[in-house]
Amino acid sequence: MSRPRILQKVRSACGAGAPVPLPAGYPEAPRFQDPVEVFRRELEAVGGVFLDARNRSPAEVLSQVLEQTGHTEVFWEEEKIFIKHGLPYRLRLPESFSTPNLVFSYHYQGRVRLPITLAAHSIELDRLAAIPVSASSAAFGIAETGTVVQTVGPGRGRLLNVLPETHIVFLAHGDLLSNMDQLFERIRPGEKGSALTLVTGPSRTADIGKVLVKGMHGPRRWFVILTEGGG
Amino acid sequence: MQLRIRPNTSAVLSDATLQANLKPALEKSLLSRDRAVAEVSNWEELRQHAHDVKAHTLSRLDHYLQELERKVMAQGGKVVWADTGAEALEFIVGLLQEREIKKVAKSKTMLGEEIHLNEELEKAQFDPVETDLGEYIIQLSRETPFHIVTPALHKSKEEVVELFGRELEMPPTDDVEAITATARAVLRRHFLTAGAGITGVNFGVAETGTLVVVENEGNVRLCASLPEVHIAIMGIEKVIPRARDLAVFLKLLSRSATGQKSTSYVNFINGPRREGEWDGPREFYLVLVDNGRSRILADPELRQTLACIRCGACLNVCPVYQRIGGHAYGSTYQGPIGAILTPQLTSAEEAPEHPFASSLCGACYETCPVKIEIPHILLKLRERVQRSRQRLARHLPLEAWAMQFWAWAMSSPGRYGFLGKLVRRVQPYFVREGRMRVPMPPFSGWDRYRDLPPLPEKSFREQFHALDKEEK
Repeated sequence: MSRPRILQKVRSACGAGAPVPLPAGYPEAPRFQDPVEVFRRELEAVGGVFLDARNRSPAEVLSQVLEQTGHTEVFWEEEKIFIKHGLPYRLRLPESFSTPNLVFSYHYQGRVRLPITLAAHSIELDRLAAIPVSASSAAFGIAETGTVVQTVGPGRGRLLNVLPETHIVFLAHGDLLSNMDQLFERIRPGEKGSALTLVTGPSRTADIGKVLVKGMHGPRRWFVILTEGGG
Repeated sequence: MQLRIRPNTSAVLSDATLQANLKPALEKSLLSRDRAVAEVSNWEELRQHAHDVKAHTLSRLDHYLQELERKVMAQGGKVVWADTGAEALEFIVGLLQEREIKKVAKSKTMLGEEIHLNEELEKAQFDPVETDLGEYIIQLSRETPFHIVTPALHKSKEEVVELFGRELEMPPTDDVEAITATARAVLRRHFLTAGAGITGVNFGVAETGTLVVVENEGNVRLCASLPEVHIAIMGIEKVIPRARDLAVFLKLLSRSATGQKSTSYVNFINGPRREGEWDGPREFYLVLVDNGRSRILADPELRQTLACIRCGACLNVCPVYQRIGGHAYGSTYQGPIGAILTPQLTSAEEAPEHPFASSLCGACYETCPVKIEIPHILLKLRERVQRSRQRLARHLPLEAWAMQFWAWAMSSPGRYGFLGKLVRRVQPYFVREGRMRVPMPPFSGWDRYRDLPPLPEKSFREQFHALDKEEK
């Protein structure tokens, strides 16, 4: 057991220097008059797509995104968070959409056409990994960097947000913050779930010849739909 | 074993492909870093804050490590302490054996490189798969990382195509998107069949028990979500006291490392999956590794080395790294941070050349987001080597004599002026194409990679006096 040995070494090593105080304050972070515009700019700069659904039906915007990506299904985990964004559980399509009847919102854990139960983790993993489009609701958005905050918790997992090639995030206007300091004023990591991720645009790599490529392991196409939300 | 740099340099300096690829790649990094930093009006304040937080944490490291341990355990994680790399490996190998896991999905971790994790896992018949694209390229080509942030920086697209063709039967292409898609598909299969995920840790937050890992590809996220077991390995110096300091550290790290305002993903991991969560690992282990760090901590002057957040900015800006690249260092950590970290993690005897692999220009300190005084530490370590130097004993008499002579010459204006005149008198015989060339030992060879400009016709003092007279 190395614990006592290491702690002993560390303790005596610490004692070799003078005590140093922990800075009490924090440096200022920018606050924006119009965080929506900053968020849009930053998200677009990293290759994400921003859609403002504050004055439109979020369901209609979602249908447009699906049409644009050539898909007809979208999977998500919790109904209640979509009610927050003014999305009916079963989507109503705009008349113009070419293939009606096919777009449904799916709860990936049951009750659906493609039921995937994670209880049988290893067996169903392949099917989970084959999902092309998923959607989620962001806990917060951070304008300074065009970032959304994804959390896990009861009824939500880590995988559905990261495995598909296309991911759609709903962000309520009231949850859009200016900077990360404001995030830590509101949440304490680990309090509500075992994982939290700050996501800024699509997955990317520049490991080959410094050429930027989207969609290395996570989503290649990244949409954020801003809604009025219920707060 | 002694780590040498000198014997590796002539090969890299005459490698035309490498020299052609390296500079533009680093310049691209430098440019985007500078652009990202210039946008932050209080960058200096952020640097100072991060510096101070790190200095404080290191002065109370035992306290914060125990707090981190307590918080991680409270949320269902297990904490393992490893005094050496061997101890960390022993634990990991033992755990994998016990769980009958063969395949391990790994994300990029410099600590993993430091303790030779892949090599040891392979030796023990496990199948570790690097999932960061750059690291995967390095693993397939059986090399070591060239750079702490972009490990395959030195590989051209053509080399990767050739490698993937050979190892993955990828058809020839020059489309980077297609190459990446191949890697995505191959690695996705590995992810879905891996029994354990191993990641590094950028910051361990003591107050919340959060392990923070930054990345762009999504592979860390998958390593920490898909397999049933997640093992996070962390150097003991990576702990920070408060979550809110992350706002500062993350800003400094992403902008310094890649010129991004934020990396695509910043993963906050608080133990294994909880009741009601759909997925995530059933078991979470945090392995705290010392491996020489407490020894560095014990020297109050050198301990700031441990404040490093591994952004790699000092590599990009270093005129030595820009020429010799990462492999010539022969060590896990390269560039200026490698030059100070390597001799401290090993010893002055084992890495005697590392502190000298610098021109002391100070660019590393200027660029360091946590204000580590690298040039100062280099000098301290040179002193150490100098004191313990047996290896360079044969150079010593000449060097010592030269230094004494120099001190004597410099300590009197008259002597200095006289010697200057003397050199000016004889130098025309040695100037070739505008540069001094002295074709006899011990000077010959010295100027192969260096330019020594000839002295101007008049010394500064002479010019100054002339000006003075003119004005009168």
